[in-house]
Amino acid sequence: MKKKSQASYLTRRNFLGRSACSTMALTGMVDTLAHLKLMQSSLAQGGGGSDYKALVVLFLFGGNDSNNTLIPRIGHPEYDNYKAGRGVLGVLDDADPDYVQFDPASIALTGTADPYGVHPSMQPVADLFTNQQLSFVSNVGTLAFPITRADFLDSNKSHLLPPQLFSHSDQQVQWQSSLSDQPFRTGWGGRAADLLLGSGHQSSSVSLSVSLAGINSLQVGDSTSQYAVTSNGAIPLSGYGTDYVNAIDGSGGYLNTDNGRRLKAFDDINGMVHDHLLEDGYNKIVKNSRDNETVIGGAIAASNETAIDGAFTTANATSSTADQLKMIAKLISGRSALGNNRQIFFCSMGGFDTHAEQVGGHGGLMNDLATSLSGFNSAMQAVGENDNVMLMTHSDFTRTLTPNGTSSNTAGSDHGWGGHQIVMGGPVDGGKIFGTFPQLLVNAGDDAGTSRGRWIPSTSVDQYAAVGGNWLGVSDLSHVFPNLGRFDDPLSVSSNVNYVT
Amino acid sequence: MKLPGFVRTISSAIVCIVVFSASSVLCADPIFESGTFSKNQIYATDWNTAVFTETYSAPPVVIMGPLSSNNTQPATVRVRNVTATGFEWQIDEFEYEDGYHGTEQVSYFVMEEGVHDVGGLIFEVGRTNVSSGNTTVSLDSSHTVAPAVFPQVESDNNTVVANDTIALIPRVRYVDAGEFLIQLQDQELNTGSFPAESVGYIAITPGQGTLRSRPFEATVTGILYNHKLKTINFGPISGAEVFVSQQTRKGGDPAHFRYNQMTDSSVGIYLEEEQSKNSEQRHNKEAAGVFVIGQPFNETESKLDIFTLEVTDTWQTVNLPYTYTSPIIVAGPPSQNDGDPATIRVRNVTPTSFQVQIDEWDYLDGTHASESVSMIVIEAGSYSMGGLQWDAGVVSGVTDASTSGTFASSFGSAPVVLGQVATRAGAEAVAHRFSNISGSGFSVELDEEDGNDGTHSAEAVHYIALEKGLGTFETVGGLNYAVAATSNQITDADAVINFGANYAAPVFVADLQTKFDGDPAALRVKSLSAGSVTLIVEEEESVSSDVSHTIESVGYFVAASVVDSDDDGLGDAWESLNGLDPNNPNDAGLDPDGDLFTNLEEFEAGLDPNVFNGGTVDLVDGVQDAYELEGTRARVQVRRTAGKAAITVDFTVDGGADADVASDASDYVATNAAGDPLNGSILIPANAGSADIYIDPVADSIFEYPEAFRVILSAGATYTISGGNKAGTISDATNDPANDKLYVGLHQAEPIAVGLTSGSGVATLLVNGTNTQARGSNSFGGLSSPQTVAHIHQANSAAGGPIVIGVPNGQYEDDIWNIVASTGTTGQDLIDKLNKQNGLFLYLNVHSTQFTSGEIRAIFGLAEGGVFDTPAVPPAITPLTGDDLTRDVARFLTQSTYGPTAAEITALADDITTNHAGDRMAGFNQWIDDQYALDQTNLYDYTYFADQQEWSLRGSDPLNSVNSNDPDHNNRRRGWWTIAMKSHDQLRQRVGFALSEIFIISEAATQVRTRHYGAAKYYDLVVGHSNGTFRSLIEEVSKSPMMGYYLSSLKNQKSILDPVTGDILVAPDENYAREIMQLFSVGLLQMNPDGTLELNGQGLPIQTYTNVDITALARVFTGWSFSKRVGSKADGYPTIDNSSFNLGNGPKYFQPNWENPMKNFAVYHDTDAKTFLGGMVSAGLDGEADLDAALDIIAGHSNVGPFLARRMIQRLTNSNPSRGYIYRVSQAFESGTYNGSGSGQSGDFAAMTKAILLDYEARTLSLSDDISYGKQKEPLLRYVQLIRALDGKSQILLSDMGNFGYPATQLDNFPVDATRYRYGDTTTILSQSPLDAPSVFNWFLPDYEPGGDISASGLFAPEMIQTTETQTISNINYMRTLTYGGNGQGVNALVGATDGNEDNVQIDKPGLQALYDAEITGGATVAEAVETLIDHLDVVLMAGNFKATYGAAPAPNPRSTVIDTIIAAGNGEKIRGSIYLLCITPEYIHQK
Repeated sequence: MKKKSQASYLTRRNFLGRSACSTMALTGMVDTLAHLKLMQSSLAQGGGGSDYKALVVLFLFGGNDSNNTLIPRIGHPEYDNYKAGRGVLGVLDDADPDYVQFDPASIALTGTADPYGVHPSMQPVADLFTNQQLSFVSNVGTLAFPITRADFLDSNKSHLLPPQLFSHSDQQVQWQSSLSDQPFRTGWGGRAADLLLGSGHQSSSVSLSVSLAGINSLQVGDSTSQYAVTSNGAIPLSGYGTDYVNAIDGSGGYLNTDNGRRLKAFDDINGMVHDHLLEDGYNKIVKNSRDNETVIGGAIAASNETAIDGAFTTANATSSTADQLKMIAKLISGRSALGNNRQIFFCSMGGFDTHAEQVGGHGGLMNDLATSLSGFNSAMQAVGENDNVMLMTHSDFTRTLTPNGTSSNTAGSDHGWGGHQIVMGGPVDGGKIFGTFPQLLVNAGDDAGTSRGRWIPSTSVDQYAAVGGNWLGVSDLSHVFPNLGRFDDPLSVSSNVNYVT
Repeated sequence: MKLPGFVRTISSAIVCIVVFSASSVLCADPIFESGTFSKNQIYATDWNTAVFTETYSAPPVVIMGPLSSNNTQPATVRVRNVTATGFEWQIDEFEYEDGYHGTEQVSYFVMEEGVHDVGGLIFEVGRTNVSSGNTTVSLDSSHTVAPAVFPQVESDNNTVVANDTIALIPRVRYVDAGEFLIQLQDQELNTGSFPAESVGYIAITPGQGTLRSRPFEATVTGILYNHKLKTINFGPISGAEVFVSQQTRKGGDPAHFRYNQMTDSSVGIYLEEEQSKNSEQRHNKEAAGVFVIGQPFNETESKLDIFTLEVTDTWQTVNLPYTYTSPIIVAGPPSQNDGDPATIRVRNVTPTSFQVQIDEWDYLDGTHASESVSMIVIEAGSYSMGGLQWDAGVVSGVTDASTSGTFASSFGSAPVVLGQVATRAGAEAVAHRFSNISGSGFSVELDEEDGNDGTHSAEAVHYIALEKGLGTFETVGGLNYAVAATSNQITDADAVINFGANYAAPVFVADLQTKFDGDPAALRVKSLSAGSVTLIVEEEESVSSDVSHTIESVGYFVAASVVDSDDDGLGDAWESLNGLDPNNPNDAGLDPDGDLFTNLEEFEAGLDPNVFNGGTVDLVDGVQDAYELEGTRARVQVRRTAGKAAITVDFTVDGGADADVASDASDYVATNAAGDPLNGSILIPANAGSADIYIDPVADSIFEYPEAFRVILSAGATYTISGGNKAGTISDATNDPANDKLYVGLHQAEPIAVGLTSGSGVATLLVNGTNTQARGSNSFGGLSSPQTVAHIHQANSAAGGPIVIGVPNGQYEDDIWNIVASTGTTGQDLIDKLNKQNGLFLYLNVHSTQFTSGEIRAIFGLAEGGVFDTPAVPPAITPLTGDDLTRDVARFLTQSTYGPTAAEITALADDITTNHAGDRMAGFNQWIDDQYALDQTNLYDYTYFADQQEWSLRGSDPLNSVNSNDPDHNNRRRGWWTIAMKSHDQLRQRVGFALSEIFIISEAATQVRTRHYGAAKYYDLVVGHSNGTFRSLIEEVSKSPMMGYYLSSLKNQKSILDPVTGDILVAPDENYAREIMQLFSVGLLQMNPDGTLELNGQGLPIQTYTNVDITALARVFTGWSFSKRVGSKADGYPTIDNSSFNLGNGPKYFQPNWENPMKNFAVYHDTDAKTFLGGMVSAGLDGEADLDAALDIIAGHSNVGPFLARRMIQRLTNSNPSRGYIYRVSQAFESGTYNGSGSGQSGDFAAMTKAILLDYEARTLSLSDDISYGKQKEPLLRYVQLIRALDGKSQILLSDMGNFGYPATQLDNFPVDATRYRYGDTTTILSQSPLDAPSVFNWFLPDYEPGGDISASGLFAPEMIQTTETQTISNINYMRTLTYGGNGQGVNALVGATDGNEDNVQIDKPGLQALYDAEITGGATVAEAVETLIDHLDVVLMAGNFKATYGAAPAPNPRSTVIDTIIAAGNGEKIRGSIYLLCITPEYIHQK
C-alpha cells in the first residue's frame, strides 16, 4: 500500500476532532488507513446497508469536442458567438438562414430555459434528456483554484493553474485524480472506494472498483485495487476444459492427471511469494484473476442477460463502448454474486482527439456515445436497477472553439479546457443543463488565451465528481476531494451543479 | 450591574450589598444589640444581670456608655461574667466613695467578636488583658484611618472585698489605623498595683452607617473635651444611645466621661476626675471617641429590606433579616454579564428565607454567569414610607391568561408596579407581564418562551406598588429614593433613563408596566450609575431570532444606598473619609489627585480620590512573532484598565527562560509605534487604554531557528501591575509558501554499500520561513533488498551521526517534520547542519534488509538554482566465466535482440572465450559493432513484395484492386513478425522497435493502417536510426507524411484571420507541435543531466514549455504537404511531383505521396518569427529553414538526452534505471561516443545503445538479484522470444518471395531456411500488435505505477499497465496455443496454399524431445533428464535465472514445482508442459 501523505493524515485527524470523537486518541504514526477504517466503522455504524448504488464513469479519451455535443440554438445568447467561432465545424440551427438542408442541424433539447441542442447524431440523448434520464453539466474542467480570465492571463498567477494544461496524458490523470495541483497518487474513485469499504459496506473478493477499460488512474486507491474485466467478463485459462472439468474434480480438488497437475503447478507457482517486487506484483494479478474468475462468471450467470442484451440491441448499440456498458449492466444485474453493495465502474471510449476530419468523425463518435448511453439506460430500467445507478462522463478537455483548417472535410480542433459532461440515470435530476454555460467568445469572456476559444472551467472536476461521490455515500468528501473546499460547495442549496435529485 | 464601593466579598463567589438591614446569613451584619439601663446602685457589691436578646456563638464584647450625671460622685461602670447569653454589670464608685450611687442612665452596646465591615466601616471587636502598664493592641489591617476606640473592663480580678471591685478607668491613647495603647487607671490614692483585667474593646471607623436597620455614627473629635460641659452634635438619630471614650491621655489624672442633655442630635459631655487624693477636677482637653446608635427606622415596621445580590444559575437561599408573616419579594432586572436572555426566578418563600436563581429561557443551556440583582423584600400590606405610598401583596393563580390584581389600598393615580414570580409550580422559565395598571389594580399574566406550548401552571406573583414621586427614607441622614415610570419608549435598543438626581451607590428595581408587544420579554440592566441607568427589553429567541420589541413603559424604583447629604452621588462617609465636604454638591466633579477620574468616578470605582491612580497595567499579546525578511515587527500591547491619566510604564526585554532559543539584544530593537527606540519605558497617553511595544527584528543573513524574546513589566509608582510578561519569537521569515526553502539531497550509496547497490533517488525538504517545519519527500528505487526503515540523521562528523527523526517507509511526499530540539541538539543545531555549517550536514538514509545500517543516503543541501551532482562512477564490471558467463550472454542477447537462441548464446560465449580472451565486455562491444554493420532489413521491401506475391497468386492487379482480393495492410504486420523472428540485424531491429514506441504512429489511425507502404517506410526510417542521430531522426519523422497525418501536421496551414476584425478564424493545428516536445524530445519537466527533475525554490518541478510555446511551434509546422503523387491510372500510376497542398490520399496500392517526405508550400506557411523553448526561429524563413531552425532548438535542449535515455533504458533493460545509469547513457548519446569510441555525432543512438547494454547496471550479474531489477517483458516480446528460442516455424518459406521481386540483398538478411510468420492483429490476445499502439502515448507509460508494494517501493513498471487480470490470462492462453497446438494462423491463408496449416507456426518440440530422450538413453533418470530439459529452457528463456535462483533453494519453489510436475507428467506432456509452465512463471515474464 502506498504511504499516505502526512497532509492527508492531518486532515483526517482534524476530521476526527470535528466529529466529536476525541476519545479516539490517535497515537503515533500507525497506518493511516487503519485509522480511517477504525474511524469509519465507529462513526458509520450501519453505513453498510443493504441498499445498492453503482457509479459508472465513462471516460471519453482524447478530449471530446463537447462544443458540438451541447450546442446553443438560435435564441440562445451564445448562438452568434458559436456560429462565428466554430466556422466549418459548426452545427447550425435549421432556422439559421445559413443552414442548408444537407448540413447537420442540432437536435433541440426541450425544456431548457435557453434553447439548446445536441449533435444531430445524438437523437437517443435528446430522448433521454426529454425523459429526464439525462442532464448536462456545462463547462467542467480541471482546476486547482477558481480562476478568472484575468488570472489566467496574469503570469504572476500561473501557480493557480493546473500544470500541463492541454496535455492529454496529464489532463486525463488530473480528471481522474481530481487533484490537478499534485503529483498523481490516487484517483478520486479509488479514494472513494477506500472510504466506502472502510465504512462497512458489503464487499467481496471482487474489488469494489471494476474496470472495463484496463488499468486506469481513477480507481487507484490506497487499499482498494481495481479489477479489470473485458466486455466478455473474466477470461478462463484455456486447455483445461469447460469450467476446468479436465483439471478439477467435483469437490474442487486437482485431478491427478497431466491437466490437473499442470493447473496445480500453475496455481502453486503463482501463489508463491517472490522477493522481486515486479515478479510478485505480476503473480498477484494472475492469482487475483484466478480467484475472481468464478465470481464474475457467477454474476453474469445471475444477471438478466436476455433483457440486457435486448435493451442494447433495441438501442442499436453495438460498439465496444456499448459492449463495455453491457457487461457493466450484467455485473450490476448479477450483483448478488459479487456481493458488493457499492460499485464504481470505469469504462472508456476513445478516438476523441479530433485534430482532423472532425465533422465526419465526431458525428460517428456522438452516435456511438448516444446509442451506448441509450442502451445502458434501457437495460438498467429493464432490470429494475435504474434508480441505483448513475453514469457520468469524463473527458480530457473539450476542444478549441475555432477550427484548425478551412475545409469541412479535413478541419479539426485542438486541445481546449472546460467542457460539457453528461450525467445519466435514475438518481439524476434529468432534463436540465447544470453549471454555467461559457461565453463562446474568442479572446474574451471565458477564453483561456487569445485566439482559440479554450473555456476556463466554471465548475471544477472536484465539484462535478463530488456530487456523484456524495450520492454514492462517501462520508467524507474532503478526503476524497481535498481541494473541494477551494470551490463553492456543489451540494449547497445555491449550487447550480447538484445534478442529483 | 456592579455597584462600586460598598461592595464586599462574602465568599469567593458571592458579593452582596446591604442597604437597610442585614438580609441574609451570607450578607449579615455582625450580631449586636444595645439598650439603656436606668439603675440605682444600692451597694458596691450589687451586680445587675443582663440577658442578651440576640444569640451569640461566643461571649460578645460589651461596652458601656458614660453614666448620666444625676449623682455627682465619680463612678465608672464595671462589667463581669460576659457569656454568650448575658453579662453582669454595676456602677462602680471609686473606693474612696461610699459605693452607693443614685439612679443613672447608662447605655450598653454588645457585639460579637471579630472584624466586621459594616457598609465600609470597620467594627473591630476584641478583648485583651490590661494592667496599669501600657498594652499595645494591634488593629486589623482593614483599618485605613484611626478608629474610635471604646474600651470596657469586663472582669473582676481585683476586688476590695468579694464582689466589690476596684474602680478602674481604661485609658486609650496613640490611636492610629494600626494600633493603640491602653492602660488601666485606679484611683490616685491607690498604688497602681492591681492584677490585669480583661478589657473588651470596639474600634470603629469614623463615619455613618446602619447596623441592621439602625443608624449609627462614629466620630473621633478633636482635642476639645475637658472638665467643662461641651456639646457633641450628631445625627439626627432617633432614640440615640451614646458611647464616649477618651482617645488621648493629655491629662494624666484618672478621668472618665459623664453626659447630660441628650437629644436626637446632640449630647453634652464632660470629663470627671475622681477625688481620692485631692478635690481638684480640672483636666486637660482630650479627644473623644463618640459612637451613637439610634433606634430602628420607621421603615422597619414594614420590614423593608433592600439589597443587591449576585445571583447565579443555581438556587441560592437568601435568609431574611426579619421573621415575616407574608414576605413580598420583587427582584431585578438583572445585569447583563451574560448575554443569554434570562429572567429571575424566586421559589420556596418562607417567613425567613427564599430561594432565587437566574433562569435562562428553556431553549438555552441554562448555564449563566452570575448577575447583580437588586431586590426589595417587604411585609405584605400598605405603607407610607418616606413620603410615598406603598402597597405590597400577592396575586395567586397567575397563568398565561390575564389575571387581575387589586391593591389593598388604592392610589390616587396609577402607581409603579414591580413584580416577581415567587413560586415554581411550572419548571419552565417564565416572565410575568403587567398591564392595565390603574390606581386600584392591574392585570398580570405569565409568558413562557415562544417555543413552548404557551400554557403555564398557576404561580404566585408578588408585587409592590409604589406611588410615583420622590421620597426620603427616615434613615441615616435620610436616603433619597425615586419612583417613576417612563413614557412608552423602552424597546430592545439601549434606553438611558436619567434619574434627574444623584442616588449614591444606587439600588435599582424596575419592571415593565405595559404589554404593547406580546413577545415574551424581560428587562435587563446594561449599566447603572448615580444619575442614570441603561436598560433594554430583551426578547428570547426560542423560535425566531427576531428580538426587536416595540415600545413599552418601564416603572422603576431607585434609591441611594448611602447617606449623601449634598445629593452629589458621593456618600457622606466617603466624602468625610477622603477630606471632601459632605455638604458641597459641587465636589463630585472635581479631581483632586489629577488622575482624570472625577470624585464621583472614584467613588463609583471604589478608588481613593486623593491618590493618583494610573490604573492597572498588564500585557496582551499583539503580534507574537517578528520576521527578519519581511521586517515584520512583533507587538506587545501594554494594556491599562481603571486608569485615564497619562502614565509611563517601565519594562525590560530579555530572551526568555530557555537559553537554547534566547535572542539577545543584537536580534531586536524595542520601539514604539512610530519606530522610535524605547529606553525601558513607554507612555500610555491620557485617556488611552493601551500603548504598544514593538519588537523590531534586526535582519541578518544567518539561517536561524526562531529566537525567543520576552517583555517584562516593571513596577511603577503610578500604576499597578497585573500580568507580568509576554513572549514572542524572532524568525527569519514568515511561513508564506514563497519563503519556503528547498533542500535537496540526491541519494547515493551509503559508504558501506558503495558498488553494491544501484539504488538512487532524490529526497527533498521544503523548509518553512521560520525554519520550524519541513515538508519532506523521498523517492528512490533500485534497492538491493526490501526497505526496512528510513531516517533523517544529523552528521556529527563527515561519516554520519545519530537519527534525528524517522520518516515514512517507501515513497512519500508532504511528510511533515516539525523541527524541534531534542536531547543534546538545539533547533539551531539542526538548522546549521541543514545548511551545512561547520562541515556538518543532515541526511536522509534508507535502510534495507541487506544493509541494515543504511543502503543509500541523500545529503541535504540548499537548492539555489537547481541541484545536480554528477553521479558516482560505477565500479569496474566483474569478469564472468562458466555458467555465469553463459547467463550474462543470454541476458545480453535477451536485452539486445528479440530473444536468443541456444545456438546464438553458445556462439557469442565461444566468441568471447576464443576471440576476446574471456572479456565479455569486449565481445559484446564487438557484437554490437558487427550487428550495426549488417544491412538493414526493411519492412517496406517485405510488405511491398509480399503484396506482389499475393497479387500474383490471386491473379489480380493493384491497379484494379477490389476489396475481396486486397492484401490490405496485412503484409506490413506480417513483415514485422518475420523480421523480428528471423532477421540477422536483430540489434537494429530490436532497438528500432524501441524507438518506434517513442516516435509513434499507429495503425489505429485509418490512413496509417491503409497506407501500409508509407507506414512500413516510416518504420524503416525509425529503425534505421537505431544507429543514426536524433537530429536526423526527428527531421525525417517531422517530414514524414505518415507522422504528418497521424499527428495532423500534414496540410496544416497558417492562421486565417477575419478580414474585418483581424481575429484568428482558423489557427494552425497544435497536435504535432505539442507531441514532438512532450513525447519525442524534451518532455514536460525540466531535467538534470541524470534525469532527476529540476526543482524551483518551492520544490516544484519546472515546466519545460507552456501552451504559448506550443502555439508558436505549431506555426513552424505549417505549409507541409505531400511532395509526390501518382500520375494517371492510365499511365500505371507513375510517381510524379505534387503541386497541390490539399492533395487527397491517392489510390490504395500506389502510395508515393505517403512514402516520400513532405515538402513545404510557401503559401500556407507562417513565416513570422516563432519563439519557443527559449529559442527563436527568425521571421522570413521558408518552411524548410524554419523546420531546421526549430528542430535545432529542440535537439539542442538539455532534456533530450536524459529524456530519451530513460525511455530507451526502460524499453531495453530496466524499468527503474538509477540516475547514474541515465546520466551515463545520456552522456554517451549527447557525445556520440561510448567508452572512447563512436561517431562523435551529437544525439547518436548507436552510442546510446552501447551505453545502455554495456553499462555496469546492465551487465552486473549480481545486481539482477535485486528486488526491483529489470523489467517486465512486453507481451509481444514474450511471445516472440518463445518462438525464437524454440525455433518456431511455419511452412511458408521466405525465399519464395524472391520469385516476386523481393531483393536478394534483403533475403540475405535472413537464414536460408527462414519461414514467414503471418500473424493477424494480436491486440486483443496479446494487448499489443505491431504498429498498433493505442495512442501516441504508446502501450506503456514510462511513469506507470501499478500500486501495491511496487509503487510503495518507488518503482515504475510501465509494462504492467497492460497486466490486467483478463489480459494476463489471455496472454497465457495464447502462449499455450503455441505450445500445445499449431498457433492457429491458418486464417487468411496465402492464396494457393496447399493446406490450411501452412501458416501455422510450430515450435521445435521434437528437438526438445530429442534432448530429453538422449538423456534417458544416456542413462539419466527421468528426474535428471527433466532437470536437464528445464535447465536448457531456463538458459534461453530466462537467462539461467531459474536455476541460479532456485537451484539450491528449499522446495517447493517455482523451479522444483515445474520439475516435479514434469517428472510426474506423461510422455506426451513432458515437453509442452515444460514450456507452458516455464512461460507462466514470473521469472519468464520478467527480464533481468
